[in-house]
Amino acid sequence: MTLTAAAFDQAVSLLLIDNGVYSLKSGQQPYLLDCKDVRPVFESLDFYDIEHIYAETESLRERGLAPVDLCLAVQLLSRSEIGPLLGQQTVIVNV
Amino acid sequence: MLHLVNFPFCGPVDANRCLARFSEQDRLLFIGNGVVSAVIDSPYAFELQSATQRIRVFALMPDLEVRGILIDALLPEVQTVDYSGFVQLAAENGPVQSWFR
Amino acid sequence: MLKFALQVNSAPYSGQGSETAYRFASAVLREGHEVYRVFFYFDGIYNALGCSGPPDDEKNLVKRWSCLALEQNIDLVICVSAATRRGLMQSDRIGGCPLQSIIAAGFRISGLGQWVEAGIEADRLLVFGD
Repeated sequence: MTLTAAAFDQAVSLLLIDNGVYSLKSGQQPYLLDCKDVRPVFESLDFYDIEHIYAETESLRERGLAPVDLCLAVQLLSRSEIGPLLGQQTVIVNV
Repeated sequence: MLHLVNFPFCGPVDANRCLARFSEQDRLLFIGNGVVSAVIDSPYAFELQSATQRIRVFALMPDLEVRGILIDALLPEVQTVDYSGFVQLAAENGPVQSWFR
Repeated sequence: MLKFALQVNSAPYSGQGSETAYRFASAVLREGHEVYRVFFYFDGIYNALGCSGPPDDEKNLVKRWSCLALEQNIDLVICVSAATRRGLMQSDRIGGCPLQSIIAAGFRISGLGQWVEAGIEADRLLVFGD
């Protein structure tokens, strides 16, 4: 959805909260469960000009993760900064 | 903006985690199973009540009725709306974010 | 008057998402607004399964959506990739049944581009699911 929206020249921001932050954890071996590796998709975000990738600090901390554990550079936001970010959007989709 | 929540909070920490992501003056509408969170006797009523100082909280009346929850059982700060009210909230408070579980 | 776009992520009968979306869509029309499009994604594509047959004394959500489309001229779109993944597009090859009889009346099949367009064209996009 992110890539499709970006392909239609929409300004897209991606926000990872709660268990969503795990999707960027480095060192995952999805092939062990015959699952598709989504890392190439995340790595292609830059190619699609999706520069705004956010992760919530509290969500990372609650899961014992730090920004260095992630396979992509993200902008960190505190929980109280989520509301203002959402308020700036015209369309919000949760996955 | 309008937040739709369709799940009951599973405790005060969970409630705060959700509510802390809402901005001042946002609207929150409980729908589906989420409406049970608007009940005054819930274990996180305090958290929700505190949040009503910043945001306005609504519950979808048909979803309360179908679950046998009476208006008297709700926190006094919670307003009820029917589907027309739901549409009006969405019309007046864009964008709309769904928080579903 | 505002234009509303809806995204339905959940299957009928699996929870309340589809029912809530339907009631919301009806209320949008009642209030004099427009339903620009309903986009069925993920398990939401099962809302278009024309051969689904709940018992006679239970609501028929598929038929309700069909009626809404035909009577109010609402654009109901099911996502082609979500439908293919779930076997909806293979029907003519497996059972010899033509695709048109599998997809309920009033629904059409298209891609995510229709979802993006709905987000751009409509004043509001609401996601419904479980």
